[in-house]
Amino acid sequence: MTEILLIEHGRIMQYRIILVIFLFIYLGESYAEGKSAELLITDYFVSFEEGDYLSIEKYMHPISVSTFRKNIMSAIGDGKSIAKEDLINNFHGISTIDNLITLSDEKFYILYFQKHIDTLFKNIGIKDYDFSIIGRIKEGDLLHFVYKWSRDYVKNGRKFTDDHEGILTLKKYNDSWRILLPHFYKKVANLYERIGLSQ
Amino acid sequence: MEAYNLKKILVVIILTFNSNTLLSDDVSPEAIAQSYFSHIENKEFKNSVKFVHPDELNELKESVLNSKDIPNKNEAAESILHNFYNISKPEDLLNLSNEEYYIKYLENQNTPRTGMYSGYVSKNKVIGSVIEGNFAYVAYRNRVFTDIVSTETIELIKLKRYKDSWGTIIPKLTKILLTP
Repeated sequence: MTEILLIEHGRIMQYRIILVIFLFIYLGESYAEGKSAELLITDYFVSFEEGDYLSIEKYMHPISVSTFRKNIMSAIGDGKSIAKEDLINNFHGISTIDNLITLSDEKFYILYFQKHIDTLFKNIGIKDYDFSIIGRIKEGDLLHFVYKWSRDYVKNGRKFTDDHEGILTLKKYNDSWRILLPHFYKKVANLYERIGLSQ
Repeated sequence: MEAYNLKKILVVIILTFNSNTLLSDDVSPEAIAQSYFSHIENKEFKNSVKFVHPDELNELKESVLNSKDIPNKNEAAESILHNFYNISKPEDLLNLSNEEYYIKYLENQNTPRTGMYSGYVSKNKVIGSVIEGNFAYVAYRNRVFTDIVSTETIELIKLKRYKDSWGTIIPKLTKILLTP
């Protein structure tokens, strides 16, 4: 009887050890996954802080920027209220609609993004950006990063600092994390899509 | 003896999990944010304001009343009062409680829309949260339905500790819009 109990005890111990090993592997993988995503976000913020907008394109999710372009382009054309000339004014360094059409999806988004940021810098007198990650939330195949950003700006000759919080969502593309369109730009694209569909 | 100890440990684990669940159902940042959104979606604005941090409601009223444009009754002030509070005379603001300021804004924002936004319905579903000191950041999925198109974005709402619970913070942009 005692022998049987000892054998059972031994088996239970083996199961426990296997379970603990699996748990460590799972936690290790999930930590590494989160860490690689965090490194990507950090690099993205560094590029932003340094004003190196062109390098941001490599962090963006290709499907996300492709949808951005498709939605925006749906608002121009015959019978649409947005003139091609007005649209190109929203892109950095673009002078003709032909230039715009030949851009890759990534470049299309980045040049829109750059024009928007440049206008903000000019209008509000922003001098500097500073980003830091607050934490992350896992949701299925998505990873949401909550971050804080502060900006220094000048108003009436006086220097101010303003703090804000934001969220960026990452999704895997070919085994690497990529950033989905930030919600402001998604809303912009949705607005263009809405305009396109309402005419 | 060993079996008795195991039972005791199991009971402690079950109780711990249960008590955490009860707590999170009542006062977690996610629960507070979801209640706030649900009441707005059901047009129960008086109930939704109960989940806004009281300091925020007080600050909003004070900033409106202290605005230099209100006594001047200029065009900008009149436009804000009409568009966001549905009030024609600045004097009417004085009679509103802290909560009523925000309720009026929510009522106005949730009136039926026309044109591109005809059939507008907005639904929010909380995803999760991150806590940093006295603040919590709740991520949520915002789905907007209109007659033309439906859209989805991931957004963030900030909460601040209030007694044993949390209260939502009015976004900075909203405060700017609401203050003449």
